[in-house]
Amino acid sequence: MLFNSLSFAIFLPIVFVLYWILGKSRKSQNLLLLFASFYFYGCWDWRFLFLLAFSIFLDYFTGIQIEKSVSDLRRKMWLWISIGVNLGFLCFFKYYNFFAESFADLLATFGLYTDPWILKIILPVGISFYTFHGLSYVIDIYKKRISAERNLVDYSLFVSFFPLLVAGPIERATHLLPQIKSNRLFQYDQAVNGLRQILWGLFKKMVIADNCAHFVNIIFDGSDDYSGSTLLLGGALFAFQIYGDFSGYSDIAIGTAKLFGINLLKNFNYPYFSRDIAEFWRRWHISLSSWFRDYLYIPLGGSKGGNRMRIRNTFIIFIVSGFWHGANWTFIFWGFLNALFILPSIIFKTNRNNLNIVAENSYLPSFKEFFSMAITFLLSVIAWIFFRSDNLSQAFGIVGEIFSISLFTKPDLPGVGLMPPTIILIVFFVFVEWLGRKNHFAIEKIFSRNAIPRFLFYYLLLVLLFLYKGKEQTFIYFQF
Amino acid sequence: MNKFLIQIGLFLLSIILIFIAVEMFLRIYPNTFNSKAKYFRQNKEVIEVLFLGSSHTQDGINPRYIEFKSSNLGYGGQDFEIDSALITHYIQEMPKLKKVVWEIDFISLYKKREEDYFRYPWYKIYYGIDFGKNTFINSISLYSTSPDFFNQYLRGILFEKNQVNKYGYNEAEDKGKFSRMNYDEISILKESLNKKNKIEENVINQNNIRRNLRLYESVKKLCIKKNVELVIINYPMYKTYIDQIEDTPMYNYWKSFLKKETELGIEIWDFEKNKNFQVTDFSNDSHLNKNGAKKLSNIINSYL
Repeated sequence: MLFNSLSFAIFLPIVFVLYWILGKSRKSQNLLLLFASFYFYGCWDWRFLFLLAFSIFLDYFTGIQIEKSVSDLRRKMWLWISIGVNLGFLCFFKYYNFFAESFADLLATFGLYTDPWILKIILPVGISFYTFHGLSYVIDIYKKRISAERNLVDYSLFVSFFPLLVAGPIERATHLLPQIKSNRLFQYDQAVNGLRQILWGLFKKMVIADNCAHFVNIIFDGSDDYSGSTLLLGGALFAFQIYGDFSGYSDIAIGTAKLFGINLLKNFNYPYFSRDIAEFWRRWHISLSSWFRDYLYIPLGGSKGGNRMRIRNTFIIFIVSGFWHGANWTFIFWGFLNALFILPSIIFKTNRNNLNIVAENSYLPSFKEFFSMAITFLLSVIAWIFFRSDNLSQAFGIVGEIFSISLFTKPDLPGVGLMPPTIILIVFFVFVEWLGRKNHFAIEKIFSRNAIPRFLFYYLLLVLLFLYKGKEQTFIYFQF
Repeated sequence: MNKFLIQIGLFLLSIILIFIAVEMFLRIYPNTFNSKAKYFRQNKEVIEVLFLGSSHTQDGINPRYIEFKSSNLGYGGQDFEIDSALITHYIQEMPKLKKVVWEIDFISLYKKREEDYFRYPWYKIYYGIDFGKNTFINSISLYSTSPDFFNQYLRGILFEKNQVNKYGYNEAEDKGKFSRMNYDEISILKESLNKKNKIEENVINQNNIRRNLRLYESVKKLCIKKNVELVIINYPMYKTYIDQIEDTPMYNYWKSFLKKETELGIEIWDFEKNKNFQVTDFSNDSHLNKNGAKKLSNIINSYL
């Protein structure tokens, strides 16, 4: 069940109405949301409900055992059982074939040819996300940041809450569980804000991302035939595609949760307005990067121990992050590349330079700010080319062609007649995001003082949604 | 909560009203399909020549250039079932009908629309012909038959002026593939050579052929009964298209069908390789543009 589908448009109001009818009983509300979440997940593939249920039971049980255990050794044992089993399932479903093929390739370089034992494995939707939910929970219990949850329904809902189940944001028990365990009152402003955020998320996904996808697919499928300028355009369009797709999904998830009186973590903070790569990574997929910071970077020593350790830990984090995205060397190299880009700011300790909002007190950025944003965007585009490519050979080929004389030729595209509306829509989109960069999401406070232009703007978005929605594409992050 | 529900309700109501307005606009704003249907239904009692077929007919015949009262009901995607339903449904109401000119090209004999073909409801709305394949929503909303199609159509209306004449023929400037290639025959040939295989329609589907031959025979019998002459037409094709289809099994089967019908006394207007048509008469390999349609319509006028 996709967020931008008719079935979800029917599912959501039904759950919403039933939820608030049960408003006086938090337990009933939680039970309803849990059933709705399992139904939502089951629509993808009912077989993986068992895997989800197992993951929930595992972390619920090990969490309680960690808390009950007196000795450190037993606590650690239960922690590693949870981590081992969770990551074991994740690695099997996601990485088995990758390792099998990579091992066979490695043997082949030594002249040993073997037939890798490849399995036909279906990747359960959302496994990367709900696995990380569970892991953060048991680690927080081990670190004594939270108590183990004794109520199975509440804990199950924390892991499987349907807005965030298949593509995040990756929530923390410290943030979400208290909300699940407290009474929720209907708040008009919160609900309206939620609808606004859903509308903006749908626009980002269906208009920006799906229209960009049309051209990105053409360019990347035939990358050998295109000039450097066209390939750079394709990379830039993919940058907008993945941002529109993923941040759009997050907006819909966060907006949906608001309808139920629940606030989820912000996942994107206008990353393409970043002035350096360090800032970019504070603004992109915030829930994942903060997860890696708290549960991997800091335990590895973090920023303590001098530059060498910081650099080592940074590379580990980014490479693991790349690996998290998928079983392909392109993702790993994407992570490595980002670590390389962020390296200067770590060495020269400038990674905490741009903590404020760009052009905070003016309408337009200064020349220096604009230049910094452009360079940062270009670096992210180069990295995205690896993310999008089928293999490293294609990615290097594309980057090589970009940095050749053909960069200075006019871009050449079939279907170029369809390009101007897409470009205009992207310009409109960037303009609205720029105007709303100080808010949680771009249209949160648009025309907040006057209802008529505000509603006219909503109608404009709806008209653009209908007239310019691109050919439906799966949400990119569903494959992770 | 009440305030929220009321505001949501009002907002949704306004969207429904906008949708109704769009639906009405789509039904009324002249386009090829509804203009054809309107002209036909208003003039069916005096129509003497009726053209049936697919997009080749739609693009290839402009009744403006035919002196006799004629109507072109050819439309993109129409198959034998739809063609035969149109003539069967209306022949009783066409006392002046003398000729039915039916496109039967090499694809026609084995073509069969899918059960959920999105245009079936259009025939109910504009011609009153129910193929029994409409969903409830499709039968009441034109937009719902194909939102993607109508979104593109609405975008087109915003930026391009409609030039559909009263007969339902679109007289807008040619923006087809050949026009975009500046009618450069060398480029067109090069592009055609890049196509890897012969055209895909080279497998004979026996079930479809049997069905279509049955429909053809029933229309032939009906025409004989009503003293209407049936003419088979196939339209000019550019040489690159002929190269793609010639000597495929389907092409050969079609040629043998035409030969058989000729022997049975059916008149065939074979323009497939007609040398009167140059590259500038085509919008693409297999469709005429408005210049080509004018030329062909004048030729047919002389035949009539």
